[in-house]
Amino acid sequence: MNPQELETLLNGIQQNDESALSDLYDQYANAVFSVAIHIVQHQQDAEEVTQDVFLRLWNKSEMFDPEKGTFITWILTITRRIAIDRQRKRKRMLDALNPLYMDETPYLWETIAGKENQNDLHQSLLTALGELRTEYREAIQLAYLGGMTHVEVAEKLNKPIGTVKSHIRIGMEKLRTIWMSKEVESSTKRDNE
Amino acid sequence: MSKLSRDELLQLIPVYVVGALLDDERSQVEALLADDLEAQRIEADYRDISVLLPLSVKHQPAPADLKSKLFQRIHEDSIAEPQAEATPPETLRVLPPRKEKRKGNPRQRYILPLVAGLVVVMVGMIFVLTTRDESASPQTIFRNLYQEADTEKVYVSISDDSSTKGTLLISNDGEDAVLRVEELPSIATDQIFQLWMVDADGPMSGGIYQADERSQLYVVIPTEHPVYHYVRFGLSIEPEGGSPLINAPSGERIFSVSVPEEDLSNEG
Repeated sequence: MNPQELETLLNGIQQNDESALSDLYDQYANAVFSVAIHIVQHQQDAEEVTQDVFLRLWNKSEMFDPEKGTFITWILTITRRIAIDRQRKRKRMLDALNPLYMDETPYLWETIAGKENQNDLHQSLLTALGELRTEYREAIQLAYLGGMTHVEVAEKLNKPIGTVKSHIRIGMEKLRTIWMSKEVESSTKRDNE
Repeated sequence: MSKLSRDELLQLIPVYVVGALLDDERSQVEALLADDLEAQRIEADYRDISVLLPLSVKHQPAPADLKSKLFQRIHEDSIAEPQAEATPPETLRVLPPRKEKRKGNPRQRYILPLVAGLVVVMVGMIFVLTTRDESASPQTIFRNLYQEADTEKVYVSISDDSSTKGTLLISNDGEDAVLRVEELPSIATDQIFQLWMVDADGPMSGGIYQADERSQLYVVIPTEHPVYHYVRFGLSIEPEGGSPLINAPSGERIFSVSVPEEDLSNEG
């Protein structure tokens, strides 16, 4: 989906056009549901989170600002927030969360990201995460997608608090370095083309 | 925790962005972010990366019937809306109904003294009940709580640069809290004030609010726990629908009040 198509659909939603919401749902529901169930680890909760996200989109689509980022990161950020809120309220610990997981079906994501002209967004992220040491990656994912403090991550991983804090910090620094180098590569490639 | 140096705080920004800091560390980082441009730039860089992390989860298709459930909810909500609009505003609900003066019916002369007496009793009862009614306006709750001798009062002035000040009232049983913030800054029409309730797990939104015509805001803190469970309450300026960030203010933090330690001296 190109930015113009997205804008048309968002405008339609603001005019209470249900077919516009239906089209956006078809494009992004799987992504939203995937993040929701990863965080809440519960089928019914994940379904309700997904509904909440699209209801928010239905009522507040004007909140999306394309100058601040892509639509998919925006809607997944909302998904994460609603899912973590629900998770905290239910006080369900993330025992079942497998932080070591790396998506083995990136092509399914690419069909989503690709429709937003972000063809390499997901693959680049997976590549960047893949270049991180496992302990860095799992600490970051538990904190960000599990809504845990570094103390809670340390308890879960049975590691010293200071070590976990360092892993998050160093991991994010490396991720940033890898990511920025990829951006420079992409930019150079574009300039040469 | 001791006060961290600027360099230490800059190093904590990536941990802050993924939401992994403890409250004291987070407070110090947020204080730095309030007016340190380099810290803001670093935070923005990490924020750009963190929002991509949800893309790393396992792909799972949404259930086939979820779409129909979603539209069913939308239709139910749209049906319910007119009923909600018909409900009087909260601040009006507590007022006793206005009595119209009646004329002309001679029989009323005989029962007037009795009715008048009943009305006085009923109005009195309504007043007593509404002063403890949860549906009372925040101003009323604030006023009533303020007059109670055992209420804990916390007065806050932000800084010499800001005239914004606030008063936090905590009921004697520690179950209720009301916040009054005065001399709030002017905000754009597409902005709103958002309340943050911070506990050991971090900030959680307490709702979005608008100041009244005197730039005052009264908020009954929508606590899920006893008030002393929380570390502090704060206000930020946000876009109309609230902060787009995850459990964190995205706009200017304009007010913060720390919840005092619970006084247990009267207990066993």
